[in-house]
Amino acid sequence: MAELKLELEGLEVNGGGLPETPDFSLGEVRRTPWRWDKVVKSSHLTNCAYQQACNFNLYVKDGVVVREEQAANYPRRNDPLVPDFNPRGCQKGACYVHRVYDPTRIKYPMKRVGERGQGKWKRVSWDQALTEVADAIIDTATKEGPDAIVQAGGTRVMNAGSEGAGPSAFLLALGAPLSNVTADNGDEHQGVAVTMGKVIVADSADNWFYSDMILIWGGNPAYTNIPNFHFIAEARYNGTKVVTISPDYSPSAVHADLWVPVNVGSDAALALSICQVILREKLYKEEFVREQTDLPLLVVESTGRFLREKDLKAGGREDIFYLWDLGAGKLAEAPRKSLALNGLAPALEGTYQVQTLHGAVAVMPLMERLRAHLDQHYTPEQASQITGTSPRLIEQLAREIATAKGVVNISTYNWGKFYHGDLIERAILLVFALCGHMGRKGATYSAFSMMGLDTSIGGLERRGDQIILSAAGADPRFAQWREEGYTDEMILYEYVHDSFASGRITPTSLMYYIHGGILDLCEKNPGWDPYLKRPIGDYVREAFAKKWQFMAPGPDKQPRMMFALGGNFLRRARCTDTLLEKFLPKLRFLVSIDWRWNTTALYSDIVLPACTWYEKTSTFMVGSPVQPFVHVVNQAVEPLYDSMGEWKMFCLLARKVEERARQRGVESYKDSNGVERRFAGLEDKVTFGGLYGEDDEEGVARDAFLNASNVEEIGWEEFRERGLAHYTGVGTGMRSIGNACDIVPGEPVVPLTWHTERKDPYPTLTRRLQFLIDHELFRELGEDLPVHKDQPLAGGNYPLKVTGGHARWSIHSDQVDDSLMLQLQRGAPVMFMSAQDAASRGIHDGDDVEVSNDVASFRIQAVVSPAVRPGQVMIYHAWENYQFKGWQHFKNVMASPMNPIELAGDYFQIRPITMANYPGFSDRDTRVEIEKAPTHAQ
Amino acid sequence: MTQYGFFFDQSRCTGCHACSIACKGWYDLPPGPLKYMRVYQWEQGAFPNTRLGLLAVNCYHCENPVCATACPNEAIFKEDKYGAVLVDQERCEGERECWDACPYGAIVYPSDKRDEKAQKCTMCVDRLEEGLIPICVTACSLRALDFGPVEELRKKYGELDTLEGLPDGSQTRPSVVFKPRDGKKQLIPWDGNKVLELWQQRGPFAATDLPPTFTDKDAVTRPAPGTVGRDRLVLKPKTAEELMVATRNDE
Ligand code: SF4
Ligand code: SF4
Repeated sequence: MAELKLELEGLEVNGGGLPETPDFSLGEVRRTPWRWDKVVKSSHLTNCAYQQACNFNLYVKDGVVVREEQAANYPRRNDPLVPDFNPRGCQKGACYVHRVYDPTRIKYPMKRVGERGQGKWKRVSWDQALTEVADAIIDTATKEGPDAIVQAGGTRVMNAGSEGAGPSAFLLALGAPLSNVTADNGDEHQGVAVTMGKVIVADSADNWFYSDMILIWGGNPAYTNIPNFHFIAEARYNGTKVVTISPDYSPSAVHADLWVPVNVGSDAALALSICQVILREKLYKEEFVREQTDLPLLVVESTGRFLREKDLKAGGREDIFYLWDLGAGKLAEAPRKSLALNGLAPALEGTYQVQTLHGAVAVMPLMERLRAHLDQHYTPEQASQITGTSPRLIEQLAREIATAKGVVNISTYNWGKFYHGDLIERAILLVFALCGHMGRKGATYSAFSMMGLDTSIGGLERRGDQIILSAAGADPRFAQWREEGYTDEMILYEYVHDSFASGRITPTSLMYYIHGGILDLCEKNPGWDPYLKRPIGDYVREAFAKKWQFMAPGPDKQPRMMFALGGNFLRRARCTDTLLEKFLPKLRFLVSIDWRWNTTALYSDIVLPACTWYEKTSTFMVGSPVQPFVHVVNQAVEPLYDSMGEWKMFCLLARKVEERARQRGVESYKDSNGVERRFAGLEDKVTFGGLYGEDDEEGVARDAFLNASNVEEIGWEEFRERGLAHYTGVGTGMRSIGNACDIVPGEPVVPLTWHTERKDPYPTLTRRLQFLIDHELFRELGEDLPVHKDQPLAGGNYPLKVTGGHARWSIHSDQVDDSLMLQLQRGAPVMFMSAQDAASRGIHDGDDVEVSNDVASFRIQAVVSPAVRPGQVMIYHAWENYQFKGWQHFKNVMASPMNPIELAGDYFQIRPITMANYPGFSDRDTRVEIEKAPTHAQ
Repeated sequence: MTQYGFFFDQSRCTGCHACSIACKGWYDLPPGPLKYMRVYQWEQGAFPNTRLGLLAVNCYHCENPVCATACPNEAIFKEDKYGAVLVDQERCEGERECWDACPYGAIVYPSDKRDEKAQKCTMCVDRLEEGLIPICVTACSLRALDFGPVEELRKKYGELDTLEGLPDGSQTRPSVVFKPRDGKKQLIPWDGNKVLELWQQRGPFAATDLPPTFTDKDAVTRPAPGTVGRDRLVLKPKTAEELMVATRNDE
């Protein structure tokens, strides 16, 4: 802290901006008017995901932000009975200024002078730092191709102003792949992706107010949805029942009307059993099921696969499906261009005979097959053996969910962190679909919560309408797509598939699995998932051979240079030691860009100081419909030390690359598609032909805002003064269109109404919510229908399961070492364990314990809590590696076996897309044993 | 004088500490025990029949400020515009008589050193003068706090001036209205033998050579006393360290 004082003195806070001790004499307060130079609206460009973002007033005096406070200026909702979004904000945001003036800031460009991770650094000039980075880029691009230059991004790289536009524009101009990090966070919603054909689907928090039941299933909004949680309280006061389903007595269970404890990882069994009761008691919404789902589609009894046109006609199509029309008493083609049934009355039960190319076969509506499947395996009695929940409670829950007028869910990003999370999601979605709790006010299923301006992010994404316009003119596939009834949404997704196939976007999780040695770990431990019949490597080879999956650099190349920014991959990724051992040495050059010394920075070769959010101008490229506003980030003060915004940084870097290439006489390089690219002109590409100069990050943000079609039409200055603007639509952005609904300012966001009301088809193979996935791999693994599978033994055969959740005290690692936040906890990483498990191991609250499995071990402090289920231990995420003894991070034990189901591809909706359909990390299946650590051991 | 006061809705509070942190931020208070707003937590029961206690407590600027009466130096006074109870730092000699007197633990010190001067919530009189409400109230995004003339609060929210674990208000007549959290009842009977049966299993994939997790019913339903760290509310912790323990997040 001594150093911090010095720096603050250096800033000369004179004239009483911050008195040494607060002055509480009222006379003094009355005599002295407030002494701010200005009050600026701003927000936090952090990835606080579901809660993001909140409008703040920053009080600036003598070039220092001395205070901050929620602006609380959100407009009222149209319905006077509905609470508004004020005041928003969380405890991290309420003291971000503390981070701005924190000693952990990176002050100057730093060059490593010792071993990686040894902590020996030398301050260098910007010019030297950029020269070294530029040389590494030139070397890598010319020797190995630009696809060997990878990005360990984070979600912060998707912002419109400084942080996102610069790096994205630079990497694209270079021909290096952009990273998709969703699945290495375990944030993917694979179950939603295969069922709905998209993952971006979410409502706004005021929509909860209209529901009869809020089902907190898989999430912990008390931690992760702090600014929105009041809507839960208010809905409850309004008569909505709050039900929390979780293994532990979670902080969100504290505020529920009903808490349903379940065994860890057994949620699919619970959901399927709820479905069994709903079918048995005929509580499902027939009309919704018939129109919106694949349940009336006919399946062949003997194979369980959909009946397709190619079964009936020579040369018939793969993607034409059938219903049994009760009206006409015969087979009818399922409508594809619209969900509207137009008078068809599809059967939901019975067996029928149809004439196929191979003779007469028995077919039945999928619903009939589902019914038999559920009756056979998921009666409440059977399920209770798996879930540990009483059969009576399952029945009660099923009836309440089915008879509620509307149910909404809160699951956040939990299920992707389970190995079989996709099955859990598919099962829970089935509950919602059977009851028709979708696409209506107060009745919605939310998955990946995302909403964004539909302008480009530094060139990453052209505005959707432009893509469609140019496709209409230039893409030969376009006419056929339209002919086949593709919606704009489907067409946009085709282009995302293209980006994956061409290596323009690449999933980093696959990179860590394959280039980082994590796959080897799974291969060495085939017993972890006893359901697998083949070695995992086999599935991976198949996936690449069949072009189900893509990655850059490909499996036969190596990543050589990495930009780590907007995230902290060595903190975040599972199997930390494996990555340090296998992945890090492959990188000849690792450059970190951040405002604080995080773990990844500590292992880097060059560290570049970014400025904090209060020192730059930007706006959010991605936000969340949970609060349907876009926020501004206004520069309140000058960047401290030698820090600068990423926009400027990447403009200067582009210039430096050109300069060094000229000096070294290197002109061009070939990209992975064999295209010759020139170093000359790089800066021009980054700056959009000089449209935005290096000092014009504001211009980038401004135009992203002004050119968007889906936000209130107010001027940039007004936006800056107000701090926020209401979304007016989902726009044609890929990161938003999945919500598929109109947005009216002041009204709740109700996703999927384009499907439920306008009858737009879903972007799936059957063009419906699809519960049967008759892909060969799904069939091989017995997952063509939603099933429950027991969790793998990730890490070995040990009695305790490690689960966790998003930390309450930090947005990822941004505040994990903030002294104000640490003082609210124990100041060090902790693991929560049950009183029972502690007692049987002689462990007391506060003891240091050793946690281990076949992969690794680490030391941590135990918190003994009656809220934790015996057999489960919990560690909330985001601790930095250096907060553990010997830098042995807890994620080290998280073996994260690859689930081969996530390798599937080439099945309309199951193709890699931003945020889904590629293998991701899991961690909630990790098994460990715990023992008391010897005391005083050093 | 119009007496101003607070409202606290315990069933809305999630224990996020935003109130406490915003207060620290506004008054530039260092990390540590100097907490004008304290958010207490404690845990009771045995899984799954568990209760988590949550309570955000500041100074209630009592009508009868016993802290002021107790102070031998007349350092604590009731300000005459809003009824805020304030400490005159020049008069305070750090004798801690006020700490003994206040039943809410509202008086706080930077450390355990005997000569530290008393500090406490100021009702944000500086902000009130600017037409704003206290920073804790604006910071609470759960809307668990409200502020205003206490008579108006009483009209709006009722007269309750105490919560489980807090002293009743008859002595000090605090300027506060409370709304308690809801009770909880167990829906499904908790049968120790059944629990044992369920918890002895390790799932289908477990090796047969692992011993059962629990063999004794009591170990499951009644964990040994003292295993859980913080099993009751400590409203007036005696040392800085105890205060930090009582007001940290250990859910
Ligand atoms: S960190 Fe996120 S939730 Fe917290 S105040 Fe900032 S924007 Fe809001
Ligand atoms: S800010 Fe509100 S919800 Fe959070 S601890 Fe304080 S009173 Fe409770």
